[in-house]
Amino acid sequence: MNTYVCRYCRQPSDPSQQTCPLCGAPVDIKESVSDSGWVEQPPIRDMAKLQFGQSHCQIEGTRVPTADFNLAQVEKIYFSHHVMLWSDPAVRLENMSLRGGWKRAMAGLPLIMVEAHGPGHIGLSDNHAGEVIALPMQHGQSMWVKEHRFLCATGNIHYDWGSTDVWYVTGEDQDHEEWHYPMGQYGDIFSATDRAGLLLLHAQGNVFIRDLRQGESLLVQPGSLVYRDMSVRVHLHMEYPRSRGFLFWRNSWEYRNVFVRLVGPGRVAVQSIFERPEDMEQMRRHSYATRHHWLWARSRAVCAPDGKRRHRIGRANRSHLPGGRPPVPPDVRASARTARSASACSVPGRGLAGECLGWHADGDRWRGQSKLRPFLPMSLILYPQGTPEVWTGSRNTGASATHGGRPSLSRRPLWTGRTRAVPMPGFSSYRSITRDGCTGTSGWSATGC
Amino acid sequence: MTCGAPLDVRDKVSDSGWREAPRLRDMTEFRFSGSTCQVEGELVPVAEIALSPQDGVYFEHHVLLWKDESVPLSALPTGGGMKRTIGGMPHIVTVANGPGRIAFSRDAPGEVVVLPLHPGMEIDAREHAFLLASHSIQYSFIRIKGLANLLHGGNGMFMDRFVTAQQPGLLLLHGNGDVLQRTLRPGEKILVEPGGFLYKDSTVGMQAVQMPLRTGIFGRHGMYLAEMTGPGRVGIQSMYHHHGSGE
Repeated sequence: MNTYVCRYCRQPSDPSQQTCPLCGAPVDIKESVSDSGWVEQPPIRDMAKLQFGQSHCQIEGTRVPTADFNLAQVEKIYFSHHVMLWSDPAVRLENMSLRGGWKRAMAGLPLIMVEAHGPGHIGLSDNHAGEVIALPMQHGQSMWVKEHRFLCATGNIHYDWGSTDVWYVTGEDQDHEEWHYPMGQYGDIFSATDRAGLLLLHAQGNVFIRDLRQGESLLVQPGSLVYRDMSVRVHLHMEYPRSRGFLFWRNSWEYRNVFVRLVGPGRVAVQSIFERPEDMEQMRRHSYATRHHWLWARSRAVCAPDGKRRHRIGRANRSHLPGGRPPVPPDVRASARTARSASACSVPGRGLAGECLGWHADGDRWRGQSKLRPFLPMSLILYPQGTPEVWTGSRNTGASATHGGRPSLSRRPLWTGRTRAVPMPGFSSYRSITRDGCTGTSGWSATGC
Repeated sequence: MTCGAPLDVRDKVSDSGWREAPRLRDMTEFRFSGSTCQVEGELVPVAEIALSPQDGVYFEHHVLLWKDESVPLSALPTGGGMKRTIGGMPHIVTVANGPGRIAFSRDAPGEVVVLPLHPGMEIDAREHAFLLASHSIQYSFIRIKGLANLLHGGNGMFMDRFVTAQQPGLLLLHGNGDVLQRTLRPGEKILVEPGGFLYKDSTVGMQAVQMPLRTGIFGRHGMYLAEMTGPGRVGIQSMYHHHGSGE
């Protein structure tokens, strides 16, 4: 014991076990890290046990896992009442009142938590396909959690909540203004003030974690955030895709993308299923935010190998295209291997989008031409490799993008589904995502078809 | 052979006594009567039936995924049409007869629960959970008794009841999320979130009980759980609210 530090919960653990006794992460697997640096949180194995105090918790199932607690006499847990699946009659349930009931009601947060006192068994589960995340918290540690991700916590973890301070207001005038909270109005804050404890969250889809260095920043979809260290700062960020012609006047609001920028240091986690971004109207005011307007460059149409017009790219780059026919891309591999949702497609050595662009316009020659960027089709992220910012150009595709690096795509709202790469002769790899599991197929093309 | 459960995996039983429904492997095939059933897929599994000429299955019409042109469809008279309409249950249960192939799936991630029924068995299933049943199983529905059960039970007004008389049969349910089963001893009780209930033996009693908790603004709402009393099997599903596609 104490010779192995679990790479997921960062606590001293037992390497002789199959799973970490503190967070349930498998011990005997290789770390799965995407090229862009996201670490895939491995799902807790079926029937894995987590130890806390004199009690333990067993995770049952893999689609919508249930946390089955065996509470000792002196132990208690608390949770929101709607996650309770079953209980022994012997378990004593009590209300746990919270401050700010009116505000919580207005924000759509659960008004009352329930405390379950041992001895006895109780089972808790969320209501979405996804994963249970176990976060063992050491004395003095705190964690910010997005609202509605919380499953339960042991009694020695202190619960508080506070405003996210990420908001904007839309509307034609003051009488019709509407407030938007892309990350929710409030966030949950959990602290192990007295002694160590266990915090369980439920994330929808797959979970990816990342450690941000001091000052490193990251743009993510607001709805995809699961938790972050308290040291990570968050603020609003808006990007305005380029457009021209009569659409230009709409560019100031309608085509913007709203992200949150996370600034390190600290650990952050995102999930691959997230809420639909709200429809855009003119923004009247907002919380502290950064903006980026992408300017238009001269462009010409370029033919894809099948002869159809696909993209428009800068004129200067047209000469680099070998006869208008782009080079064949290398194989695309999917770094998200688990089946619940599709995320984080990457190409070895390059980002997905960089590869798409490179394939279309010979990516290597795009280097240093940061002023010239392609016209972006909907539902696709494209950017030249090595540019200082990342372009995200989708209104109907969720995007989590890294600063100066590699963007990744996650189809939203993925109820559940698989990702597969299907080679198309002479054109590109086509990744299709089946919604609703085995039935129906909708897809987007890595080349922007 | 009869339910498709893998034989080379250990029984998964939690410390509290819940047994996971056996996870059917992709393309698992098993037989009933003269027909075969193959379960395809793992996220939202599809049950594909190759019906022999003397066999038939019945189902709610919206779970039919595809069928051979040659498979004839007919309606199973259910009785109590108005009651079923009021209770939100399908008015008509559809029957498909062999020979031919026909496939079914529901539109939520979860698993297919295969319940081979021996003669003389009675199973109650939550409404809209049943995927298909073989023709040898008698289908009826029972009204959930008790006002508290109706108002707070979370299971609607009716439950489907499947009874085998002389012939064995096959019943397939679709559970949302993961499905867990527990066998209660006589008099043993367990409290279950009403929306999590999936199926039970007809010998298991079900009663909505109010917990000493208040929820909602100003504590206006009580919290109700379904108290299941043995003897018999109880099956629950871990995702107890059916979500649409999210679109």
